[in-house]
Amino acid sequence: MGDFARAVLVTFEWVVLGYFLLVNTVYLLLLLSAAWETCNHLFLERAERRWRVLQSDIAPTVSILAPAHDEAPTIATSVRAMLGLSYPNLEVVVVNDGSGDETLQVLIDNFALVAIHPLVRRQAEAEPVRAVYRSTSHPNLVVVDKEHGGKADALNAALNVAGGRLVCALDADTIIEPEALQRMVRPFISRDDVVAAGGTIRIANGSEVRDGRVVELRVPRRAVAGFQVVEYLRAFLFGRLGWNRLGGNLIISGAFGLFDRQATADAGGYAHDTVGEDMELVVRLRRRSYEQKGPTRISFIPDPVGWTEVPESLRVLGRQRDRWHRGLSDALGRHRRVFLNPRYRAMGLFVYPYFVLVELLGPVVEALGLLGLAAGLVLGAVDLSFAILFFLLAYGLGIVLASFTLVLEELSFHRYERLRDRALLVLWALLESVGYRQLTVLWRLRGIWKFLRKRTDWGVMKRRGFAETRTPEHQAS
Amino acid sequence: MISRQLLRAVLTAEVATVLVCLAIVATHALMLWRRQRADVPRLVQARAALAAAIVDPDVYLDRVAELRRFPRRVRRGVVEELAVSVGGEEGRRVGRVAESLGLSAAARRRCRSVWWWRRLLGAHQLNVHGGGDEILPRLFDDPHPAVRTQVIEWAGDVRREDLASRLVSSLQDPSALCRHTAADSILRAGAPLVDALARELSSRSGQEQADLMAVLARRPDPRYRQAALAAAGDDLPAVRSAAAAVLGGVGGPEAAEPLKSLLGDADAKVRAAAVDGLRRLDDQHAAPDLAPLLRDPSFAVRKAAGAALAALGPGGILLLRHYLSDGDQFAADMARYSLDIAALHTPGAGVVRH
Repeated sequence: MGDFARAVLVTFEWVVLGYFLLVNTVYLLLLLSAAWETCNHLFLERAERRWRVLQSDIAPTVSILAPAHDEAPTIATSVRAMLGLSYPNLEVVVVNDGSGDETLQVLIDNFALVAIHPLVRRQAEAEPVRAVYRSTSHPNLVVVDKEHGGKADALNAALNVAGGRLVCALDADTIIEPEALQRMVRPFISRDDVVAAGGTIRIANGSEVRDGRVVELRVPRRAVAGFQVVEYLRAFLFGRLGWNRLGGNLIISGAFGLFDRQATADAGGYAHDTVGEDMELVVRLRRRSYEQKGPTRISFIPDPVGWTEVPESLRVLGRQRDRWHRGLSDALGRHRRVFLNPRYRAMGLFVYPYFVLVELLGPVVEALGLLGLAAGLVLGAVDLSFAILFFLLAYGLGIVLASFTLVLEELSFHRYERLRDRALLVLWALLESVGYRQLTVLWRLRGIWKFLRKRTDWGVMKRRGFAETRTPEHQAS
Repeated sequence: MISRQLLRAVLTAEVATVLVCLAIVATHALMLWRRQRADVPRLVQARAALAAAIVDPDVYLDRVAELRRFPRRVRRGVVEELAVSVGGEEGRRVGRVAESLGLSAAARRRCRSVWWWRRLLGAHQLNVHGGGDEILPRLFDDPHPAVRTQVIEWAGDVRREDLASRLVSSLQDPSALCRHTAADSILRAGAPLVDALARELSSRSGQEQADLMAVLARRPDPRYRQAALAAAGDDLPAVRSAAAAVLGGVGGPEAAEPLKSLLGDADAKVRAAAVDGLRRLDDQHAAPDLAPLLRDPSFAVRKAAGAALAALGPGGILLLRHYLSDGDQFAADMARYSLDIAALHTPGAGVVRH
């Protein structure tokens, strides 16, 4: 091998090493910002009397948008849980998105639905509405029956019917805590410049779920779900919380987010031709707000919790992650004019570049770095000490950050009460960087590849279902 | 070539950081676990002692002495827990216990701190168990909005006439949270402040008057009528729409004509508020004036007109039916929708099925 090739390989490896250092420096900034935000949040939370919102005449009206497709077995329980949320001015808009099963009939039977004249504002593009129903037993329940058009289309149909000042996009398979909405409206009450807010999503695998509520929280015993608990904690507790102070978020989880209805409708609602409609909407909302000098803030609140069930099979998880990465690529690609554009201030100069360089291209750099390292070792271009340094910076710092996240969780919300669960969480945090993280790199690379080939399929998402989720003791009995 | 020293330094730093993190997690988890185990029986005993101190004046001193033996966080916890659930005389007794235990004095000291979070905590505690009549009004001008919010909340709870003006001024606070809390506190204050609020309503103008009137429209009182009648002709649309909302809630024969005149207002929000006001007046003679608004270009006005006609009884229902075949598709749509919604609430109330 020629000297020139060696020099190129070594230089490339140093560049990758520098990239990891830069990324970890940004992570450290995010961590500090998240710690600051957490302290502030806890001080404010301590002095807050949330029950006042429950009795308040002026709490903003919230419409929950719940798309449903072929969910006959669980839809009645899900809707009851939504209607049972502790919030005074609540409307629930369920959209039967062309289900082939008995979803609509189950809703009609369980909630005494009566068809009314479908008065639908065409603010966001959606497939034709077949009928609109109101419940005679629950005056705040509206059901929209429409042609099948997918999740984004169903959310748009719900948006066209919703009457609340705020709309809460909620996945049918997400369980939100009864008080979550009271907490979630806080940014809209506290500030004039908030256009959307997101809450934390936590993982319910292994926990006991009863009547649509997580009654006993456990850390999953299975490694794949356990690693995802650490991932979610890191993403929400320091990723999104950290961005609150460093230029604002670009992501609100599609499973649980609260939006200003008028701003969302004015922006045209959710985009149909993307698999990452939640992120695309948030980027579009922020971009429009800068362009039209409207409210631009996307807030993240750490304690309104939505519970979700994550895939426990690597195959399904891989499909999910590749879809997420396609969504990210698509959203960033559509709004590429924001990149380093001073017109969009912090979003254009800092947040968007971070998402491109770290979130989008991170797996590419990591994979190339690993391949280059292997090639360098085989060809003798790099020595063992360099390889060790590479791993220490690439993965060792990952473990350090995961540990910081655990500290943040422990000192703030400490949702896992049992010592055994906390110990298990530590174990998953220490092991997550080895093996699992490399797999996520592969899945994300596949996402980029599929995005470049313009693949827009969602893939089949198999879940065990909350109803079947039991603690080991329950399973034993 | 990377030196071994550098590698060793990086590795040592990483391992040390991880170990420190894990030690913090483990120590905190153990500390919480031990505290929770110890606090369960303590809380039970402290709650019993506090309840006895409040209901039985004879054992007050003994029970307060007993409470003093518990850790401060337990004392504070049980007092705050009870204080938020009781009011009136019992609330005052809880406040007396808080004073005897030194909790109020500590909270007052916190209110003087240079740190906002300490002032916030102090204001919150005084807000919950009382004892801040002297110091809390001074915090109306606190630089931190969360602290001001506590004081505004407190002012709504104590319902003192001398604080009404500060409450109303808080509707113009730069912080949205303070404005929201001020509106909520004004509504909570209720009857004891109505006279003072009526005076404030008459003495303010422009956006200040509009904001106050919009709040008071939710709890209308006849004492707001004169100010609302005068404001119905204001130059600001926000004032006119708030005045329409108040007039609709207050009622009375003199409210109908100003409301009808606002149906032709250039501002859609004012028209919608006037329609809604006439619905609340339940003036059946207004139905012929409301029906043409089913053709209004604004969706909000059409929707309000449909709801008002449906609420005005047979006359309104007949007009809605008439509009089912209107040449304006928007008006026909809204009439049909309003009839369907009316049928939900009063099945068989003369509504045709389609």
